[in-house]
Amino acid sequence: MDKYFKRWFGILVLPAVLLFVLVIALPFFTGIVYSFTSWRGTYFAGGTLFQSFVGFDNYIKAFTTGTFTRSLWYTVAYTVVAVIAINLVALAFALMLGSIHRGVGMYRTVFFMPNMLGGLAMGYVWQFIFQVVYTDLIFSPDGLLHLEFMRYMTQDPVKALFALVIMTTWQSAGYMMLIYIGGLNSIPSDLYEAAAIDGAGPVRRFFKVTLPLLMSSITVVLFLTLANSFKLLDQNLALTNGDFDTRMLALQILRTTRDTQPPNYGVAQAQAVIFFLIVAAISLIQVYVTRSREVEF
Amino acid sequence: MKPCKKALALLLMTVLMTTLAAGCKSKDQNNSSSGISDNSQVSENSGTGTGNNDKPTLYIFNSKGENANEFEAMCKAYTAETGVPTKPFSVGAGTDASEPLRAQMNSNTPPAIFSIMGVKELPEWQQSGTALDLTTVEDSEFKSIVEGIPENMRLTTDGKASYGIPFNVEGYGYMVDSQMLDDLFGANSHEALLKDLRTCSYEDFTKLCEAIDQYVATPSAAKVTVNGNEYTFQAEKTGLAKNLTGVFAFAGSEKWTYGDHAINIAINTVFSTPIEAADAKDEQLDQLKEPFIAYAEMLDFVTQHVGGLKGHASRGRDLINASSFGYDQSIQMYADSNAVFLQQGNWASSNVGKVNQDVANRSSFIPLKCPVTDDMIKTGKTAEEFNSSIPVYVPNFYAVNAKVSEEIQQEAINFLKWMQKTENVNTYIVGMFKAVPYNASEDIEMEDALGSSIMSYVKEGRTLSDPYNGAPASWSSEVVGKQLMEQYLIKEQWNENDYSAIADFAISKWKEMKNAQ
Repeated sequence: MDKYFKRWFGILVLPAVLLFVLVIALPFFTGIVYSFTSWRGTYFAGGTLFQSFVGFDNYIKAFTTGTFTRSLWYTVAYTVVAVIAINLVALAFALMLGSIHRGVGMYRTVFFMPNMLGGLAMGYVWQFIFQVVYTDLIFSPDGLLHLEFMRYMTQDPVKALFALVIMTTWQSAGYMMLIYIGGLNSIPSDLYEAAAIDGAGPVRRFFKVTLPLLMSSITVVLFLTLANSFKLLDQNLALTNGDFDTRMLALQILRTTRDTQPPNYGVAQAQAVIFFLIVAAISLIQVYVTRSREVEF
Repeated sequence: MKPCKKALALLLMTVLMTTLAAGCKSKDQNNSSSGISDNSQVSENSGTGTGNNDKPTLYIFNSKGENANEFEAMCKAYTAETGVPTKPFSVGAGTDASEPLRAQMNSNTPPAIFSIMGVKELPEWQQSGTALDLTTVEDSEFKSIVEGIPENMRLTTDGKASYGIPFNVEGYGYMVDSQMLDDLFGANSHEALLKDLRTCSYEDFTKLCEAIDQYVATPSAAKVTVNGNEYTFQAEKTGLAKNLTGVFAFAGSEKWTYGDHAINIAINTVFSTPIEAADAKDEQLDQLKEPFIAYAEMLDFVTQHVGGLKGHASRGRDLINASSFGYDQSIQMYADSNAVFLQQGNWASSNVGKVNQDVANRSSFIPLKCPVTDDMIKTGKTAEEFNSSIPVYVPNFYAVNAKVSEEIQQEAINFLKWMQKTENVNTYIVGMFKAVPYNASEDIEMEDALGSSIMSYVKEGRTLSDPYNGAPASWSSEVVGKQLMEQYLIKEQWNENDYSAIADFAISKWKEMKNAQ
């Protein structure tokens, strides 16, 4: 079998390599080149590709116009809150499903289902929930529970951040829960028995047995939520469309081409490159840190 | 691993590769990217760029997805008549056309005819050298078409060159349903009242609105004077008046309704075309201070008399909720007779018709009334003329791609000439696209009530322009409109300071963005 793979290796990986080069690598490198030019979408301002090189101008512009840095910090704030919220809820769901005996399949399906909705559709559904159900029904002065913070959540940058977190947690906690369930199931039950015999209570068992052995799942989930939160676009666009200073990075890059006329694709591209570097750096650091903490058994 | 599995792996790989290759190839041939419906009228060998009679294929980019089928039918008719193969692309209905257009322009077969949305988009295509200056075309018939475009409708930055043939004209004002007026003021009162509303002053208009607001709360046979003529309310609410919850249907979450369109009225006091606005001097922008204060006063008045789906609405956080005060909801409120007036354009006619066709058929426009005075207006108009005119302008132009071969450019020009023939204007632009042609002849019959209302203003010469399109990109809606939505529409009380703060903000941002470009 090894011989077979060795012999046909080149041909077997060809489709994947070709796809990667055509769809990801080539556009990526063209993009990097464009980020140093005055690319306007269909032409280079000032002549040919070589005449239109502007050095680091686009990068400087990205940082000096203010909208990019503002959306960068907003994205960071959102990511911190969202990663914590999604992980806690997903782990809580997984532990809960591990300890009940009836209806596990049903709960798992129900928790997972929101994940199958598209981001845009969900954004509009939640816009209605925040603007009508939250504002007028549940949290209004004559509703079930009067909470001013929960009303008009799409009309304030801080509230909108939590509105986004509520929505994305609802969406992706079920998916992350499945990963945690897989991780929990792979922990041998004799470890728990041994710990119990040694006198460890449920809390101690969780921190000393479950958590260390779950590290590989936590790596995966943290990695996924971190990257997803940073790249969030559809939900941001549908829920607030960037109003009330709620533009996140991806939406900021998308809108840059509309902010000026002719559209400045060079600056948009420079922002995209910075965006890529940040996402890549976070992901690499995070994988490295969590890997070093994983426990082998 | 069994040999058959190995064979399977190889087979799968081959299939993948073939699909990949086929995918790339078909991309070249069809030249269709996402969001574009590919309505090819040519035979299978079109990929080479030549059609049946060895004539080159004419690629046409249609930015109005709403009329994709009608546009295709028009191209078919052209092919049948002239034998020139055509290949139109339409974007999806309601989609922003600029991204798909740029993608098409970068493809191997760029469109020979494409669309430019006014002076705002012109610099992009001018700089890239894609837009052909139509005045340079040596063709007497086409020359007369280009020269015949009214001066205020020319797509130009210097007044000399001309880069597009207008697609149509659109206009906006307050829509009003004649039956509603009859139900408020007694049968057959609408004709006289509509006439008075078309020319009345801002003061008369606001008095009428206040009286209606009063009537909605407590109906009585009150009297109100418009343009010197007295009108008496019905003592009891009858017919459509029973549905009223306020005077105006208002889309608070749609920044463009007050950011682009309402403020455009005030900009018209200083600039009479978008080209002038694009070339604005700082002194001219300073002259906008008083008109912008007048605009803020108008917006203040309108937003205090808004009808809602659940009764009379007021300014506040609810007013900018897309779920209650979005575009669709405002149309719904107007069509359901919850409000008397709706500030919209004739493009919304079909949307109103979808809710209630009768309302759409009975509707006509009255001008947006703005408290401007003669001395605020620098364009030579009087305040009285100003308040009896509505903005009518060209939203979209057909342009010829200067980067395709001369032969195809000539075909594109032939196509545009054919389109502008009177019989074809009547059949396609008026009949099928339901649009108001820019060069409408006197006897033209518009099927659409709001379209013919626009026509009536054009015939009387009572029109304003769209100078907001000459303001820096994203200034009107995304900067001023956004500021109004986020800071002011949510505030219940406005005072004089707010008026001038709004005006100062708008002017300083315009100056700032003009210099940044």
